[in-house]
Amino acid sequence: MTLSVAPMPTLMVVPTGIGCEIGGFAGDALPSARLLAAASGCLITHPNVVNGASLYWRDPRIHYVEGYALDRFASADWGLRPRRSQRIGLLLDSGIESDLVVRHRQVAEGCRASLGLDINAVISTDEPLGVHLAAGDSGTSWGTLDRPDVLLRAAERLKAAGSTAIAVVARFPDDHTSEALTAYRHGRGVDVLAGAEAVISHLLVRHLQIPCAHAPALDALPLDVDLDPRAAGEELGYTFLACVLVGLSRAPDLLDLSSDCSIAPDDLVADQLGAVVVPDGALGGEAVLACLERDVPVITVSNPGMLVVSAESLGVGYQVLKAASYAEAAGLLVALREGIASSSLVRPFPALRDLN
Amino acid sequence: MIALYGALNTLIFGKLFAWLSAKMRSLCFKSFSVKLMFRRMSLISPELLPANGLRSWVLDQLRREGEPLRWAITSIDRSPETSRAVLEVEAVLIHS
Repeated sequence: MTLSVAPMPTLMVVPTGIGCEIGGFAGDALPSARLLAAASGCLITHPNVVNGASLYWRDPRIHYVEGYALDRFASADWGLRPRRSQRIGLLLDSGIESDLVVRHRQVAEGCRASLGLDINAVISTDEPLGVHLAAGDSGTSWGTLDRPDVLLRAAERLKAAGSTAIAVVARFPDDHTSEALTAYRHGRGVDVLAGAEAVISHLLVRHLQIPCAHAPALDALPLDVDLDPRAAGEELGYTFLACVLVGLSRAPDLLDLSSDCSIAPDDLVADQLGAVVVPDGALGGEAVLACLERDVPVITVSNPGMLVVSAESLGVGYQVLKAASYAEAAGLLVALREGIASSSLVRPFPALRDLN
Repeated sequence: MIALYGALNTLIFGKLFAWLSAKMRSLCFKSFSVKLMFRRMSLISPELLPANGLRSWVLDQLRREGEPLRWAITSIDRSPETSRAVLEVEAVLIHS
């Protein structure tokens, strides 16, 4: 099959910390993202989808956009400008123990030496960030920081030193014996760290309007012979940083469309979106609601998680395209891209609506 | 004795230097007064609120409590009698 038509910018969202069967673990939605990128020719997605700690994949059709920026993009507040490379600053929480700091610095040095990434500076915060984990009544993971001011101050110093993107590493609480962690490692439940990670990166992106992504610093876990393959990426090394550095290295610039910035031919704006692909119970996030506002076709995929905010509960069941898998969603994307009515692909063949 | 004196000196002046440079940095770079707050809220939607008006309506409700940083509707319970819905929203808000 040859796709003769232009790429169709497509948003892929698998909300962080809601325990989706695909994408709720260590970058385990990456194969699905690669498929959707091939089908659409241009996929905009967030770090949670593609970050596999020690595992990562580069695809020039996939645009790595942090969740806050993704929400602003879908809401038509911000645009995206593809870049050949970003100059990454590494921001380390001073609450990280010295051995673990060395491990993270070595990952950065390794990515410079072996992957050719441009990492220009490293900074430690003046004081520990104080990460707290929380869980919502819905069962999804959240979290906050004691010292957001300290985080923002360090990030400003990196930006002033010439960094155009920031990889942040915060010390997260270790709890090797928790039931939630055991369940996660065995392929059940929610990533309890993910919600707090998203809050940290959202705060930085909101403040600086440059690409940012987060990796948690944790002690190495004891060996678990029953480890679920979807969580394995996080247990191959000492840090979760490599995927973040690779993702940020070619993340697009973020353009504030309310200012007088001019739009270049390669820039991406919300008006170009051809579809959004989202788990069928996770339609209550800002990016998807913004797409519904703008009549962007929504493809829902059966991908169970903690939430049941469905098209039916929003009252838009008639308006979405439903897919039983990401493979089916890829087929629907190709149909949209080629201008083939999806109703022509199903049987029984739907009758024409008679307005008389 | 001299070695002990040297070690103490390094410790005291090292800490003093670190404290002074942190203070200098906070003077050179803007200081931020930012607090993050995790909130759960039950919101009753107005009658006949279409899905394409939901985002801005939820944002308006959240802004009464702080600046929304990250939020999501985590459940919707529709009344069979009216067109109202009870939305459960979880959010991290910024207080500055």
